[in-house]
Amino acid sequence: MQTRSVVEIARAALREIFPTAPEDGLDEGARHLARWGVEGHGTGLGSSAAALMYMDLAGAAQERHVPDDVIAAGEVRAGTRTWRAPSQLG
Amino acid sequence: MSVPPLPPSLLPPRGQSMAVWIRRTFRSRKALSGVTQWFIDWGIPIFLVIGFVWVFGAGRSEKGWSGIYRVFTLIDRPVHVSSWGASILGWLLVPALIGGVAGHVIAARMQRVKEIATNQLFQRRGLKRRLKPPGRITFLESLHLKSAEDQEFLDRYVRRAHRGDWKKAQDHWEVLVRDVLCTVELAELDRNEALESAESVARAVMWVTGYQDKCLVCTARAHQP
Repeated sequence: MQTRSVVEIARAALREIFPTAPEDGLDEGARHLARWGVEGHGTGLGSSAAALMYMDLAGAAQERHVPDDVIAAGEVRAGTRTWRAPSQLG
Repeated sequence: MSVPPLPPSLLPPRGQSMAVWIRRTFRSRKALSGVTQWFIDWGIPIFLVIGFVWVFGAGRSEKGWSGIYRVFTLIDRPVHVSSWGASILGWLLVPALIGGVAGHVIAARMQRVKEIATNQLFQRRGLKRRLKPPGRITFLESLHLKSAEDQEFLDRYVRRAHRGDWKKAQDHWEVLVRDVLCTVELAELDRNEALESAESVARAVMWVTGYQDKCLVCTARAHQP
């Protein structure tokens, strides 16, 4: 019997890295991270794509601070998302 | 607690020991169905106990193997200590275990006959995929120098988050994949799809925490009372 959700695991991870994110932001970010992971977007993830994912999650979680090395890595190859970014939804 | 220094480069891998192979294989069983996992967790030990009782009892019985068989199947009554063990096992196995397992498997199949997982709607699963043997959780050292993305992941996860400790990184990777395999979102996937999805989730999670040189498993264990 499953007693755990991928969203819980994702939320625990985001809580560690997004200290200023509100609770509902963490919930939103965790749902995105869980969905992208289950859909296979984590497979073969490299530095620049992971940086884009980090920034997308920070936006979804309403986290204000993004480390400089993440921003720098995300600018290496712009627009290489295989997932649908939260800003593109709705 | 002092933090080990950050190694300047990724240390070369050391290869896989038999203990790690066994542990990795055992943890990978979480990708299998519940009944299969039960057979691994309980069925194999029970089979070993039965085997021991059978061999031990056959050596003590005047009738040899057939004598113990007749005691197991409750045809003959037990006459010595080892045959009493066989008789009790026979009472337990036939109705409780065999009946219980068979009942569960049949009931589960009946329940699922009209259920299709959302991600399998309109999908076609050929015989090759159905018969594909279960995989094992990835051995991280096998990713070394495999591709640029894999090397970046190893650098971030092994060198930075675990200070170059391949052994700890591998252990925590397996723990995370195993725990993701136990989640409700992966419950309806077949064994290979479940493992692929679990490793995708684990890699995504480890990347986002790895950008702050953190490992989710390290953090959880540090906070454990």
